[in-house]
Amino acid sequence: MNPLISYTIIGVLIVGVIGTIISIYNRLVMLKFNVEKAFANIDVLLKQRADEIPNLILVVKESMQYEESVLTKLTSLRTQFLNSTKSDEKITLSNEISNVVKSIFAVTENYPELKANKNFLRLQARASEIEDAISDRREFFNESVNMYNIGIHEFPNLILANILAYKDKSLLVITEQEKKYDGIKF
Amino acid sequence: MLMLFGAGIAIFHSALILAVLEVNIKPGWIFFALNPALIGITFLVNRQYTFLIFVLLFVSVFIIGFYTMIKLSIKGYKKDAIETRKFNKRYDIAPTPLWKKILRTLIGFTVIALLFSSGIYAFVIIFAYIIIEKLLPSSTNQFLKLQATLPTSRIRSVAMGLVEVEGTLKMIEPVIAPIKKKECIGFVYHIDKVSKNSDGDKSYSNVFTKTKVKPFIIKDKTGEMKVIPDKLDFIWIAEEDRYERSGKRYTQYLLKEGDEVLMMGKAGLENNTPVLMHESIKNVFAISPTAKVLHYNIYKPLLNSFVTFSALFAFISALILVSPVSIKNDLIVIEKPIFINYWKDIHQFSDLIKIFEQQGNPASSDGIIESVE
Repeated sequence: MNPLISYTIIGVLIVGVIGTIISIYNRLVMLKFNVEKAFANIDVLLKQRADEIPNLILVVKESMQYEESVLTKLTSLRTQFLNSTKSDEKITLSNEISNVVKSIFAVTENYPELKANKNFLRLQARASEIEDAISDRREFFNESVNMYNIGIHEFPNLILANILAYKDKSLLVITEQEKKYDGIKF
Repeated sequence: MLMLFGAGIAIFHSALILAVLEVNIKPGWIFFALNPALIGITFLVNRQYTFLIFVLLFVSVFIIGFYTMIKLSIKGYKKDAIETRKFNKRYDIAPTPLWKKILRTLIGFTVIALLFSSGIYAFVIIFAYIIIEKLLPSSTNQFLKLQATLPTSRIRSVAMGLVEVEGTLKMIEPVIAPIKKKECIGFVYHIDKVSKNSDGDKSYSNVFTKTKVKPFIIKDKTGEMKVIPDKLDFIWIAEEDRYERSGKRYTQYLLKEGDEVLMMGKAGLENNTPVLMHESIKNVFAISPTAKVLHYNIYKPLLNSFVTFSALFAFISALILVSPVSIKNDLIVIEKPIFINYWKDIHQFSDLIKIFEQQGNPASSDGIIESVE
């Protein structure tokens, strides 16, 4: 074979293979970091909600004297959440906070003076906004995880994913505890 | 006879000086009298200079032609510059700084000089440039690549940083488009020079491109956010208007209220409110019709598979074609291709050149060629 042709073929093959590997590697890295960023973005909102809790307690504690135990529980959950470093633990605590906050808002019907309080209404709206945003970001996280999982199982990506030891990531699913509804209890 | 040719040359003189350069010389037939007269007078005064005068008249046509070409180019450039200035003023677009224009001109001249001085290697340089240009990420490639790896965010819960959002456009303040004065959110306006070859086929070369977009809103079912459109790229935005006049083609692409689009950029804050703007790390900020991106996402994997399998097929075919084939006992036998390690004979660059030269001239083969064949 003409050396010029053989060297050109070998050169094109080498450039093609290296280019493909770089492209796949970059795609996998991006997918992986997207998942991590999506989770961190949920954490930001959970922290924002935890930061609003002292204001909420301050506003409601005078009106809702009978539910002091609930408020104490909320304070305790917030402290645990802020001290927690494990993701799973944070999610569980966050879900509990969510349930308690929802229950507080649900019983405001019994406290007309609270319903007329502007600060309380503002906090209620803010909590609702954050809940919606958390829900959106959970969906976004799941979408990121789905894209990542598909990405590492696609051919030829899976060869590089195996070499890099990229494993499947879990979706954020609604737990049995979250699905369970016991009604409003104080 | 020379006087008659002199009158013929007068046609070119009149056309160039009176018609093209628009010099006011009267009467209009003066060159038809002057050229033959000049030849005639020279003939009468000194016969031996007659042909020289004729040659000078003939050469003068080329000199005047060259001068006319330069003058028309400068005139055209000035006209374009005035048009650009007017356009920039009308749409409040910052003009290109002088240093950029000078730098561009210098780079242009350097590249042309390098290409002319590199001879046959100019083709290699041009080929390498095309490959590098294709490999470097363009804004369209960057957008398409990122949209395939990034999920779409909802506007009410958009996180800071690189994001992809999908929604409908809403106008804040209208921009008036150059063609038909249509109200829009923004436009890209192209002017192309039209050239025709001998078969009448047209080709277009871009001489002017401007983009003007004013801040606008993108909204989805969860909320809306402001877009600050500095450095916004239009990708696959449909052509709205086009016409040709006086050897130029005018085209505009519009962003209109109600357009369904997919956008990618950086979510940042302006007055504590999320806004979408240019993302400087990935250098991406683009807008494209949602339907076209969806269409691309459906057909791109199919195209990728086709390219991969075609490349594999071509590679295997090439291997078979270079393999020695023989017929033994009514059987076609395809043997392993022979690859020769040329590197063992190459110690310096001149050895490689020598091998290539021997390939082109089998008569001078010294064994290497024989082994190749």
